[in-house]
Amino acid sequence: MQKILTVEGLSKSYGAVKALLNLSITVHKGDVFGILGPNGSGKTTTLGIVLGVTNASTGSYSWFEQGNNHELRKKIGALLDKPNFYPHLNGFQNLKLVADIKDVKNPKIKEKLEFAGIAKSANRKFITYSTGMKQRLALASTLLGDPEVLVLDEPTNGLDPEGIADVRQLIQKIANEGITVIMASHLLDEVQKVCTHVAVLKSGNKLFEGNVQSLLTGDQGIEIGSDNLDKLEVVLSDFEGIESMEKKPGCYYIKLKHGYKSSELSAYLITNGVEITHFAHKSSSLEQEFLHLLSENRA
Amino acid sequence: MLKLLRIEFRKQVTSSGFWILVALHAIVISLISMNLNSFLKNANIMINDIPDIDLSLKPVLQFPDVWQNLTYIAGYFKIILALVVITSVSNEFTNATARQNIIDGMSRRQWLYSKIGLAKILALFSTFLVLIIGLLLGFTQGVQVEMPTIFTRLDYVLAYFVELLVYFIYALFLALIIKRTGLSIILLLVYDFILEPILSWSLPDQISGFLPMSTIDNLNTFPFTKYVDIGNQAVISLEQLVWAIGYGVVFGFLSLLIFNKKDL
Repeated sequence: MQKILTVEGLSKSYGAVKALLNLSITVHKGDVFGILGPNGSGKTTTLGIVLGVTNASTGSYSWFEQGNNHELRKKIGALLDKPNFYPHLNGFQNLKLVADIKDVKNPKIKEKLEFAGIAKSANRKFITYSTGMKQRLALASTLLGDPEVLVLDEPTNGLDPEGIADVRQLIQKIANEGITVIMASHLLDEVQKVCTHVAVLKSGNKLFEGNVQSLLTGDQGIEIGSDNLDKLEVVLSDFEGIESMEKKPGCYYIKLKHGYKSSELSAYLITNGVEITHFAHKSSSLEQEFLHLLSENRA
Repeated sequence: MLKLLRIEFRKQVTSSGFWILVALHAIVISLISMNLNSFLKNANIMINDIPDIDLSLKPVLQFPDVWQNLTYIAGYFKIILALVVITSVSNEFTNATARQNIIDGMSRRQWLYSKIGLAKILALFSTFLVLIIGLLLGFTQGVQVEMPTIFTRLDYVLAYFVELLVYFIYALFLALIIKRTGLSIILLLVYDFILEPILSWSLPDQISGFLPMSTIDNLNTFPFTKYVDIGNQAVISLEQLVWAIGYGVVFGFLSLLIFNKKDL
């Protein structure tokens, strides 16, 4: 499969602050690749470097297996941190300017404006736009020249719930057309909903890279409820196959050691006289896995 | 280059600030030129070098003198166009559009060339304006005009173009390192009118004449002494011209070096 972006050993320090440490990631064609991490983990720094606006301290990157020439960026649609446009130009004029920079001969600006739902305001100056409209114009701009890959940094930041849903829908619509998407986010939920692959960053270090499914199905837990929680606890703690046990409202959240089946556990509980009111497999949410990853690496 | 100019044109065409400053420059130069006689009459009082000489009685507006006198006066108002260069550069940092231009696929070198392109266009515009005003003034002095005299001193117009272009590249350099409109303008004024004069007092004449602002300004020296002292016929010195162009190249290269290193 074609590699869209290869990043090798990228580091960036601002004086004594190390924003990024020896990062390597690979994005393949068709991926919806999430870069996930809390604020200050190096997401924007990474995207800034591969888009040519931040100079890396060490390391290299390559787009489309062809290097890092600025001409290659014309095939990328990118929206970093906030929509940056000329305030006194209207939406249409701003996109015309971007099309000129990208060497798009037939930019189909109207079509892109309609796709992003901003066509009605195309003749208003950018300075009069609301946050949501700015974001939509930026999305329309990233689609100019039918890019092979979209790079989005916190694309739903600062939007109202309706705007967030709209933008996520747009991203999925774009991804369904086979366009590769690289997206930075601190919202786990967003990555879980939109992405196929994910790299988790913390303080400039990569903690995990792989597809979202493998992160989700790493290990499953079981939720067990009973009318008599005290008895449940006593019985459970005697079961040798328990890896971890966590009390939740009205139930216990159990993780089993490798080689133990949930059927063995339920049989064990019944023979010990526990009345089970609730017994469910629970795939851990990405959020839990994410927090798990972060806490594991706490030095 | 044409493509870069088109991009730059799109950025400026709807900016009211751009048109206001360009118009202001054109109006100021036109007004002063058209009233140069009365202007000189009043200026006379302030010029100690020229006692008891009524410049309005001298052929200051006849060919070929008009070229030297007009470009000298017009040179004072290049600062208005320098403000266009400064705001166009610093606004790109305030709005983070320079960053976006690079992300969208411009190289940093191209971005800088597009701004130097703007500087060239502004310098050309003002040079043509001065050329037209000079012709108008020269032909309306009521004296017989002999063809060769019109063109003998056009080197002053060329020097005017160099003076403006180098000054604009210097302004571009300042805006690039400071990134903010107000501060850049203040530094431009402070260096031009305070720092360099102080510096030049403490340096020997041979050196102080080659500080950047002096070099640019000395391309065309104060022209009116020639009406008193016939031996004092100013010319455009080739050495001075080479120095000025040299400064333009240096400020251009420094801008490129700094811009390449910058995280946008």
